[in-house]
Amino acid sequence: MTIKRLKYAIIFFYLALFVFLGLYDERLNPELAHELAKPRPKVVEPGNAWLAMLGIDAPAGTSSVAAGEKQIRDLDRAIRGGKSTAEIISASFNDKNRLALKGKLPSFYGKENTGILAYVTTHPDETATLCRDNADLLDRYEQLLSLARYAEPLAYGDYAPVPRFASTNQAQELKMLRIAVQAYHGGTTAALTELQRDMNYWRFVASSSATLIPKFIAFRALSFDLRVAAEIAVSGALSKREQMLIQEILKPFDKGENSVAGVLRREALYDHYGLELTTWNTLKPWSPARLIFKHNATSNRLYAYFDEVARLAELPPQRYAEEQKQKAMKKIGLAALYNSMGEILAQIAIPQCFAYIEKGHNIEGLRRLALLKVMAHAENIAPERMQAFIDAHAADLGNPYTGKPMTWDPKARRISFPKLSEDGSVELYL
Amino acid sequence: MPPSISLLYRPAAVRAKAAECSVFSAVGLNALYGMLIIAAVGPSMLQMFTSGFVFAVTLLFGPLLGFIVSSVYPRVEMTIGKMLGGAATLDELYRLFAWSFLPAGLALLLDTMFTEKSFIVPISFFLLILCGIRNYCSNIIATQQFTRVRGAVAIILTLVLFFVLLAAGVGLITTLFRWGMGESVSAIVSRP
Repeated sequence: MTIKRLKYAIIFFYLALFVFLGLYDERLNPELAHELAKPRPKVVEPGNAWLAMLGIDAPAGTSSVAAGEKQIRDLDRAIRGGKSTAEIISASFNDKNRLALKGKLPSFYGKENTGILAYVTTHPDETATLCRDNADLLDRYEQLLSLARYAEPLAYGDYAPVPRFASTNQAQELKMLRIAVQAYHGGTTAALTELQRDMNYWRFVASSSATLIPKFIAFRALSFDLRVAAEIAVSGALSKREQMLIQEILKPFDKGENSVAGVLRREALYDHYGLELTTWNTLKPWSPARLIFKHNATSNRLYAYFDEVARLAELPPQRYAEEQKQKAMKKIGLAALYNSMGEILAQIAIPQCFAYIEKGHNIEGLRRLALLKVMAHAENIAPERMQAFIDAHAADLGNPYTGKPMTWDPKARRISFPKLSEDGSVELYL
Repeated sequence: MPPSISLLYRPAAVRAKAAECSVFSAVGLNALYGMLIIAAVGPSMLQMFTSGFVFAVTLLFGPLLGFIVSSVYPRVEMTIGKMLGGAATLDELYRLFAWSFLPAGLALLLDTMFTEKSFIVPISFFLLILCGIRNYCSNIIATQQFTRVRGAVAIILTLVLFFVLLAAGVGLITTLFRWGMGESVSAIVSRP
């Protein structure tokens, strides 16, 4: 063989290699294809709570549902009209004359153990002012609680507007202030009935959420509900009806409510739709990125990663705690030869899954803490007998990750359990 | 001293070896150097990539890296050399490029083999690299029939022009990527 022939052979080999790697794409995972083929629930439908949360801070005088609906219709029109990405995003973004919170909400249940009942007792004027000045926001929140449907716009991917959940959180806190005032003035039954209504709504959102952010917003709201319920329950003697309401509020979560497995799988679909709209349809045909960023391979990898994390999320908390210790970081394999950009994107797109999975287990742990607090009060457990009481309930109301009793701090009068991956613990003051 | 050892530090021995051996051996050496460069960064790649991927990249793209660098650099050297009145042919420069950097190849091999590094390995690495550079510079001057000063100017100009070409290539590819992406990514990222 002459050097010239060797040169041509090498050139031909690498040309063939690059053409193959540049053009090759995997077949779409059949499970993913099946999921994508399922009809998506309609978003613009009467009574969709997600739309109401989207428009909760719409200008005064407009309906939150109508405002949310308008945003989605504008977005849809912009996408179908082939607008640029910047125009599509601004079509669903409305920053004019938003309904903002008037005044400042105090923070509750932090390190200083500031309960909401204690606040309304010592700050009646401030409470009344907050509720009066934010009557519009409160009314919208009440309307939200009456809605029985929930559907997120998964098919818009990254283009989907994200509700300003801060306004929803503030509205819930205002509602809790109102409930606390009711309980303080002797209307405990009415207060707990309203609290149960709030709890049921957020359990419904938690189990219906399609993506992670609304699920975590629901967890935050449920966490507030649990703490308010525990505080009201120990504020005085409860009637039989009130005890039943407390038991109903503090009933165990079902898997759909506190597990993030479902939303993790749907996040893969959300990312797929997002890539479809923002990248695959806008990449120029001649772009070199098409050689190293493959449609099916990237979607397959995202789906596989999320599915693996979802299986971990489906485990009971104690088994999860054991498996989580053994989990090594996933590495990128041979697929990076033909899909390097996609493999790296899939790797970094997977969120901090352990912390997210644990949010679901932590809310269950908080429920157990709340129930322990209520039961300890009902049974008149003195501080010196508290440890024995907690030990006796290790099996049903213990640390969700270890099955051991919760931790009792007699000085701070606090029960808690340590978080698994993050620093700190989930705490409840008695 | 065995003849092979003299290839590490005697430029004349390197010139003789380069002329004596077939050009296929130079091709093989350049391919090997490319693989050793990738293998040297392999351990850090293993944090993010599987060993299978690292091995495949080393085997498939290492030689390509060696071929590209060893094709471009001598051509640049020849162009600069001709402008300065040099006498070397492309074939001579290509062979010298491969054989002169034998010590550097050995340095990369040591770096890949010895993961537990005592002080001997980095010192040996540094000395071998220096030998390779010295061999190459000396052989260029001899083959081009330059004076030392002219030879130094040729070598520096070649190095600078090579990096300019490299930067231009990287810039072109980056620009193509950016134009090809469209406004979607930046628009999403800058979303309020």
